[in-house]
Amino acid sequence: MKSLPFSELFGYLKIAFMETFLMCGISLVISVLLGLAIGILIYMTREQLFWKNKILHTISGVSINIIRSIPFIILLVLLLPLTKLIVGTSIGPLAACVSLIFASFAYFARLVESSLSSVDNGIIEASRAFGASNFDIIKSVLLPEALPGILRGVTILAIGLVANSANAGMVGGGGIGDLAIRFGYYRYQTDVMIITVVLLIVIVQIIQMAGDWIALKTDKS
Amino acid sequence: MSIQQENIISFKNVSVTFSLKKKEITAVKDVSFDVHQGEIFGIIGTSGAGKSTLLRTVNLLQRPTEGQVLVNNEDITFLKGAALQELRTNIGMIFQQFNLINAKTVYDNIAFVMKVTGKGKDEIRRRTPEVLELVGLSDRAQAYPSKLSGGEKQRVGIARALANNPYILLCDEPTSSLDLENTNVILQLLKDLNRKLNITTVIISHEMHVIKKICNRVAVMNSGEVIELDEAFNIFTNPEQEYTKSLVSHTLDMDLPKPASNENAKTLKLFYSGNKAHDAVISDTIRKFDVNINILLGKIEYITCKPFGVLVIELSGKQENVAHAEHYIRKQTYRVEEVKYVTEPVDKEEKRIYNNNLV
Repeated sequence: MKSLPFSELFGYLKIAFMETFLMCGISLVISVLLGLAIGILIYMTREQLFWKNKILHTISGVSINIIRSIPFIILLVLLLPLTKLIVGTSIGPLAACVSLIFASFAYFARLVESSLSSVDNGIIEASRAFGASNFDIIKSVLLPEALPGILRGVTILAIGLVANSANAGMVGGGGIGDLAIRFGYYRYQTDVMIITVVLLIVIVQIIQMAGDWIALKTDKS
Repeated sequence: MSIQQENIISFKNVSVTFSLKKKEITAVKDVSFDVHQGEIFGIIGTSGAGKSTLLRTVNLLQRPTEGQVLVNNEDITFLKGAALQELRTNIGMIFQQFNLINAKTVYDNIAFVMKVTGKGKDEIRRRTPEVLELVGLSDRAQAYPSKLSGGEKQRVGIARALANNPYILLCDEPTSSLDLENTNVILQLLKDLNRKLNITTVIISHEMHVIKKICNRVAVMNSGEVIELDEAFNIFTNPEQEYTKSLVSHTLDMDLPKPASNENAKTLKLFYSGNKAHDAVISDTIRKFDVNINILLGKIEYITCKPFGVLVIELSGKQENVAHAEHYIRKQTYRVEEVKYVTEPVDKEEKRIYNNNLV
C-alpha cells in the first residue's frame, strides 16, 4: 500500500491530536477532582487527628485497590455497559473517558493520600491548638502544604492518561495512539508510526516540564 | 509566697492513660498543682516524663483520662465545639519544631490563626504588624518560613501565639532545637513578654539552664508524676528529691579531679545565696581555727536573676581544727556539701593519661 500523502496525514494527525487532548483533558479534570476527594477521605479516616474511622477507611481503601488491580484493557471492556448508560454510546473519545477516569482517579487518590501523609503532624496539631476547625485545616494547612506533591501527582497522572488514551483507541476512542496503531502497525506505514511516536514523546516531555515547573513554583519548603 | 495568688491553671488529680496494643501506658499520674496568674512556670523532666502530655491537657490537645483541669477557675475538661475553640483562642502555644505552615508567608501564618477564630480583615491587618513588632520581625512579614533561621522561626511562632491576645502561653520545649545564642534571645523575649503583657507562661523543657534562666516556680516530673514543686531558686539550690538533685547537679557541674592533698584535708562545697558575705567567712575561719584553706573553684550562678554562689575549698590542718572549722563554716553559709570526686582511674593506662593531664 502506498504511503499517505503528507497533507492527508496532517489532517488525520490534527483530528487525532484533538481527540487525545479531549480524552486526556476531560479525564484529567474529573479524575483529579474525584481522586482529591477520595484521597482526602482515605487520609482523614486513617488519622487520629481527624475522623479516624476504620470501617470507612477500609471500604474506601479496598475499593480503590480493586479498581487499581484490574488491567486497563479489561476495565475498558468491563465498563462498556456503564459507558453506554452515561455517554449514550460506547464509541468515540467521550466514551473512552469513562474508563480512563476509572483507571486514573483511583491511582490519583493514592497519590493524594501519600502527599497528605507527608504533611508534618506538628503543623496540624499547632493549627488545632489555635482553634482551627477540620475544614480550616484541610483548606488552609493540609492542601497548601501538600500542594507541590499533589501537583507532581497530577503530572504523573496526565502522562499516564496520554499512555492509556492510546489503549482507549482500541475500543474506538480515537486519538494519536489509535492513529499509530491503525496506520503505523496494521498498515505497515513506518513513517506514520515514527511521526506519531515522536509527537507522543514531545507531548509527554511538555507535560513533565510544565508539571515540574509549576510544582517548583509552589514549593516553599 | 505569702501573697494571695490567683490561680490561672489548676490541675486536679490529672491522669492521662494511653492504650497501645492492649498495653496501658500512663503518661501522667495523678498530677495536682496550680499555676498562678502572671508567673513563668517551668515543668522539667527527662524526655518521656509526661511533661508534654500534661501541657497538652491545658488546651485539650490531650484530654485527661481522669481528673480535672481548670483554666481561669472554669472546668475545661469536657469542653467541646465553640467553647473549646474559645478556650484555645485564649491560650497561645509555641513548639519545639515551630510548626509554621511552610506554604504561607510569615504574615499569612499569623493571619491564619486570627482568621480561624473569626477575626475580621481590618483587625488582622492591624494586629499582624503589631505582633511582628513585638518579636522584632517587622521586616520579615513577606518571607516564607524556609527563608528564616531557627531563632526567627520561633519568634514567628511566638508572634502567632500572641495574635489572638491570649492570657496563657504554653511553650513546648521552645528552645530545644535552637543554638545557645538563639536560645538566650528567645528566653529573654519570653521573659520580656511575660512582664509586658502579664501573660502567664508555662514552659516545659529538659534543659535545666532554660528553667534556671526565667522560671519563677518549677515542677519536676519523673515517670508521669510531679515529684517536687518549688520556687526555681529553691529547686536549684536546695533540691529535696534524689532525681532533682541529679538533674540539678548537671547544671552546677563541678566534679574535680582529686587533688594531691594530705590526709587531714577535707574538701567542701559551699553554697551561698548572695546575702551572706562569703569571703569574710573564709578569712574568719583561717584566723579563728588555725587551718589552711585552699580555694579550688568558685562560681556564681544566676537563677531567675538571683545570684547563687558556689565555692569549693580544701580545708587542711590539725584534725580537730578542721572539724571545728567545718562546723563554723556550716553555720555561716547557706548550705555545705562534702565533695565527691570523680572516680579515680583504676586502669594503669588510664592512670598514666590521668597523671599526664594533671601536669
